[in-house]
Amino acid sequence: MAFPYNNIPFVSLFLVLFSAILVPLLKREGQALALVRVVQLMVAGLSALLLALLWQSGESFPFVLGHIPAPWGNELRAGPLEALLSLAFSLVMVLSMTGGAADLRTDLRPEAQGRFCLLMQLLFASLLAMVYTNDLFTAYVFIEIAAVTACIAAAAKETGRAVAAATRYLIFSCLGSGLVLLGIALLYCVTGHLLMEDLGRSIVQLAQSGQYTVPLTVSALVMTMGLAIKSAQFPFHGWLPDAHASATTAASAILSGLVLKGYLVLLLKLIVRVFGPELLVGVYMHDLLFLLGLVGMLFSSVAALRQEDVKKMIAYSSSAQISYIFLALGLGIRAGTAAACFQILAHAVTKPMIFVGAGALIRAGRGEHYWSSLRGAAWREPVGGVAFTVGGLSLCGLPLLAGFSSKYSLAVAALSAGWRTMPALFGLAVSSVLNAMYYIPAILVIWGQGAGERLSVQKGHWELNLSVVFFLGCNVLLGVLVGPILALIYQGLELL
Amino acid sequence: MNRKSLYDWVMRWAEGKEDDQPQTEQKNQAYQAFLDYLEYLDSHEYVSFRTYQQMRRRELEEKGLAPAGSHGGSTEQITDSPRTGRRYRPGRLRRRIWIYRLLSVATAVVLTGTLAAAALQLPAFGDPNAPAVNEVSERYLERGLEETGAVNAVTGMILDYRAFDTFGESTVLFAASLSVCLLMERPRAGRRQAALRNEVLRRTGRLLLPAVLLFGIYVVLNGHLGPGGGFSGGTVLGCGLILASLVLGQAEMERLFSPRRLSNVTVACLSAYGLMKGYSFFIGANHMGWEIPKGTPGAIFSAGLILPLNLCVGTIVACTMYTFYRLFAEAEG
Repeated sequence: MAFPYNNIPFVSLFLVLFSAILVPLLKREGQALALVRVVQLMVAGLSALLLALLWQSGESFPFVLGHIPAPWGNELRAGPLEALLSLAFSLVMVLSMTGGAADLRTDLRPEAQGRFCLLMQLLFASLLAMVYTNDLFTAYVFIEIAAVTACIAAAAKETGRAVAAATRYLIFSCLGSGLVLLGIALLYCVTGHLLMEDLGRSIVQLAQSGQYTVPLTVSALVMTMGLAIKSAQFPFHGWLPDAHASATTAASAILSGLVLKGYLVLLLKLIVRVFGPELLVGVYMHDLLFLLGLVGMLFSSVAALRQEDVKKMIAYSSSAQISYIFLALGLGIRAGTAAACFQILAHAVTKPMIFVGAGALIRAGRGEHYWSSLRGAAWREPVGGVAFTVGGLSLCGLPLLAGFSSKYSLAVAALSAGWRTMPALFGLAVSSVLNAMYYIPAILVIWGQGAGERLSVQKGHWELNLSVVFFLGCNVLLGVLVGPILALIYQGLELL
Repeated sequence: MNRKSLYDWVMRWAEGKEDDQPQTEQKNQAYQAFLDYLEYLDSHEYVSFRTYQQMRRRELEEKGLAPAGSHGGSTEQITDSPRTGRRYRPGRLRRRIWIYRLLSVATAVVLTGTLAAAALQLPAFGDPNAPAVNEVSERYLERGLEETGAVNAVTGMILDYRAFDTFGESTVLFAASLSVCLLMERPRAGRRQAALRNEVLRRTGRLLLPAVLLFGIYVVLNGHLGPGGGFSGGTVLGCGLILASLVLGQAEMERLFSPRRLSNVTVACLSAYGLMKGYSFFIGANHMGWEIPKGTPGAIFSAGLILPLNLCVGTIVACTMYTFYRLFAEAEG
């Protein structure tokens, strides 16, 4: 990549971190939010440019941080997939911060708002770093940043329930980080490398010579478990519903739309670049991922069915959608991995939209999360209602929307996956039906007539309207352009 | 403890029924009430503990189990009747707690076993043929002085070779201190802590204070020449500040280190760190060649950016530690 453009990954990261550092200097409220959003938009623009360039040239390139080359110094690496993910993440970030701005102003103390924006910006930086990094230890450092900032995002509302949920989240999150760190330490002991390419090479050698099988297996297992805990995959999802349901709207949207995905991107990189298919098939890792995904998408959907709190239901549905990604990764073929990437994108643009819509509906109702108080809320806040409806339908798998395309690509991938075909298709079908079983009644409730209340339509705030319009646009775009985007993902996976 | 079967003992432990320690009746009751409260929270909207207790009392009154008017004169209003959700099953958690306890032990045992099995296969400590002894660590040790100008190889590694990771680590600290501020800082929430009353402690503290601070500064400045650096020196400095606030009292400390000023200093140091490292990453990656001169190894002004970076990191760590102390001390008031 030619001179000015090769700096885009580093410049985006640097801009985000530096703008976060400058936030405490701002005097007036609201300035922090503006600064954060402007920087996020700039990063989105830069990523789009990088994506266009890389798509055309079909290459990926390393960026050495400092004057010393990679195995010694730190390195970033950017290819089409990384650019695509960074574009999606920055767009979702700015849209969530815009759509949730109204709730942010009411839920948080004025002096806490600036700090909240700052922490969200640090969270964004850590996500970008997880996308671009080529070094396992750098990845771990940014996992730590994400852990701290995400817990605070959950706790920032400072209600008793939010603090309790955030404490639980913190414990789970620390457990996850600890497991990942143990895995990295084991890998370093047996290979002596932290850079992903070198790690991959030595692991292939070790796997061929049969040395250090137990530490390698344990490290793969422990890191997968750690990342599964952090991304709330089924048996480890206990922390998720409360943490996502009790946070303020912007935080809920970012936590379930992006933070879970950051860890999954890392898991993807580990699978594709570090452990490689030979070792993983040898230790049945794919079967494990597949089973986790299959069980998770059924159980989490059933759990979502039982919720009386709208945000909790959406949170459980996040856990179910994460299971799709595990299932796709567990198929063990390139098409499955591509479907996983597509699902990461699709869920990242859908779930924040649902949360933003639900936040608006809750505000239009009496500020309560329960179904009974949301009856007819969509008539009072049509924009929020539309966001919730379209998001819900997208996750149920309505054609032309992102959720359908992702289910479709997953199903196509599953067709060539050997014995996994039937269970995967079965799981997909059942979980789609379950999705419909809780989203469609929810949509009916919010569009139903309120009990005897004369309803007046409120004019939505421009921030909400804008963010919902863009979310809808992204959703339809992903749903319609599934072919080109999958082609881009395949290209990116080849170059990963 | 009674003579019972091992199974019995394990189950009793798992259910949390260790009555070895005698508890007074009243304490037990309060404990039970709190457990009930936690359980209630598990399936309901959040209410404060006091509201919950009043609700319970009112319930008992309605059933005629408690004398009316036993509110104790408290006037807190109970807003809207609490929703008894479908999922409200009293006692559910406590009855099943033994599952959690046993499972947690089982998980810990399995994990310990797995990790021990993995650790047994690892190369021995200090083994010269271990995979970790490769070209990567060799270059750090053999060419570190020449490439970074730092006599202390560890500092050269964390602030030059792998400076990006260290930038991330300082950001973790920044994020942590900001999070604590976000959750705990209230405008003049608590009392300011007064100085220690004990004369002996105060005098000794005053005596120690300059030595601690000077030692901290020495460790920070000496980071590229010998053991030390920003993180360790900053911790010593932070302890010095905490000691100072104990000896002098918080009010005296705030004349020099007001919260606003501390935050500004942290921001200034972090942005200086960011700018310096951003500069060296940028020119290094694009091979521009405008590198910072390394100076003579061993001199105080040497090793390029490492000395100013250490100063920044040291200040950030010290300010963070002191801010934590101040916030927690105020909250405990």
